[in-house]
Amino acid sequence: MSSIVKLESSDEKVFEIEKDIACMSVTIKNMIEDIGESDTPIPLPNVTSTILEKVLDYCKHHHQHPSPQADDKKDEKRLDDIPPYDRDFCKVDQPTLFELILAANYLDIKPLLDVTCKTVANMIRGKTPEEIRKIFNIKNDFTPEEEEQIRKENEWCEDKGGN
Amino acid sequence: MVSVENLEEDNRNTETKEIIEKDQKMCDISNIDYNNSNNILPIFNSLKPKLIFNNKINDNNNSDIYKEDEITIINKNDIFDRYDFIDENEMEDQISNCNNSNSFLEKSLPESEKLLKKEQKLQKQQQHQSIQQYSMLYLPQEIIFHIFQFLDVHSLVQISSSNSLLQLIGNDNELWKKMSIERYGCSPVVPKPYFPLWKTYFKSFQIYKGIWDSNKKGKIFITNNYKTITHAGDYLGSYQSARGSEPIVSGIVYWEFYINTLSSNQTGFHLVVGVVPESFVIWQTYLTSNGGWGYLADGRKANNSGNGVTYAQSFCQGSTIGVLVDMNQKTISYFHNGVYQGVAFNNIDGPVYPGVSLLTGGQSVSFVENPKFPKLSQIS
Repeated sequence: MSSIVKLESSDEKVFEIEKDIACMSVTIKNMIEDIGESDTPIPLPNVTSTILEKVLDYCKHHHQHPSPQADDKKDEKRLDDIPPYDRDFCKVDQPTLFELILAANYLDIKPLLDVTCKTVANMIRGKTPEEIRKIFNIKNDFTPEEEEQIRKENEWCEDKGGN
Repeated sequence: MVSVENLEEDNRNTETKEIIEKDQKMCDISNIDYNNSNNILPIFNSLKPKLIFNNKINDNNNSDIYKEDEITIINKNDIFDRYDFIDENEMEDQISNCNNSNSFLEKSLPESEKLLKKEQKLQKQQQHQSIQQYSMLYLPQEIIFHIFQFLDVHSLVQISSSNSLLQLIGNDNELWKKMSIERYGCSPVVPKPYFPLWKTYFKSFQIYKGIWDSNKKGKIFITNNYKTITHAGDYLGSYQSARGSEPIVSGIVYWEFYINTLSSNQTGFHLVVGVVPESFVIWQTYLTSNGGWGYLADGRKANNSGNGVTYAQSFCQGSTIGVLVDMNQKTISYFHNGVYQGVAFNNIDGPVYPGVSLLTGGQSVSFVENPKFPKLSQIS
């Protein structure tokens, strides 16, 4: 049993968690290495308690169910390889998903960052630019002329198909 | 956008109030007297930690107020109203100011004028940020980049067409380098003389889109939506050739021939697949006699010659022959059932076309539908 560390979210909620689990976050791991173990909660000012709780759930699950060390082959393009737990984990509204991405990035938890980004990539897949704008609140800042030009430039990829 | 410096005192207050009204949901600062710097200082300090631009969340935080910045914006229109309120160009300046503002802030504190201006910038910055949570555009660029790495080419091109910032990220050279290596197994060194950018390089890979040309052929039947040719004669010794409908002028082009019918006793010059130049016009001869570059059924190769040279594995009925024409390096290479057979010809001159020569009635060759581009990694 590893020692317990305390983490404090931006809204001052303190979470107690096994050090091994907390150290799935490279950011936290580095902090602990830098300052040594202490009873003072580690402040995580960029993560709210709601998000931190979810992130820790994720870490706990993967700590208990270590995935077979996926060979770091660059086959990350595959989007259908998200394990069931992770897929369910990412079934959240878009703001939450984005906040999870930001938290994963800040806390430096690569598997979580990858799976959340893959989820967004899945949402993008097969959509037209207009659909993508709607889904992600993206402002169209092209003039009609620019759009036409882009459409022409993109013709090359139509026959390259998916994948 | 209103330039604050030029405003009369009254106007300024009005302006300020407007801004505040817009922000009431976001920040409880509506009752602050902006002419009193003592009141504004705490706001400053509270906003500082939230300064985010593009990539980095500023860790230099003061989390007391930060948590109060959890703003709820209910609907999209609301967001865009706010967004319109921000002048984008000015935003750039403001942000860069804000980003190196610590010492500047301190210096300017006694001057309420500057302070006010700064404060407004910060407010807008804050708006900017709260939108961040709801529009992909305000994710840090490195994260957008990371998401893009998981996209297929088509989706990447689609999302790059939705907005100029996403276009910028979507055209990133590293991204296309990865794409090129993954998709085509390119060597990680881009062939510089031909391609300044990986995206251009990527785009130069093409699957041949043509069909059989129904005019440029000898005595040959064309069937199967112009995908299949069959020698129309019923006797030996009559070479008939056909070529593809579309010229190959540039890029790296690939296609596959499938050998439908070829008797086992017919080999060598009985069936020749390959590439013909524009100048090839005598369709009742075989392609290697008039400038064509051929791969013979017995594995030899020939160009402008009735004598083949040992080259590769022989092929037969049921074989799939891949042809890779690289118009940059001016080479032709062949694949036999997916296995690379080496560069067969150098110094070819464009434009060229796919070509096939058949000697005997009934022999038949097809273009393979949607062949998969071979990985170049097996070449080098």
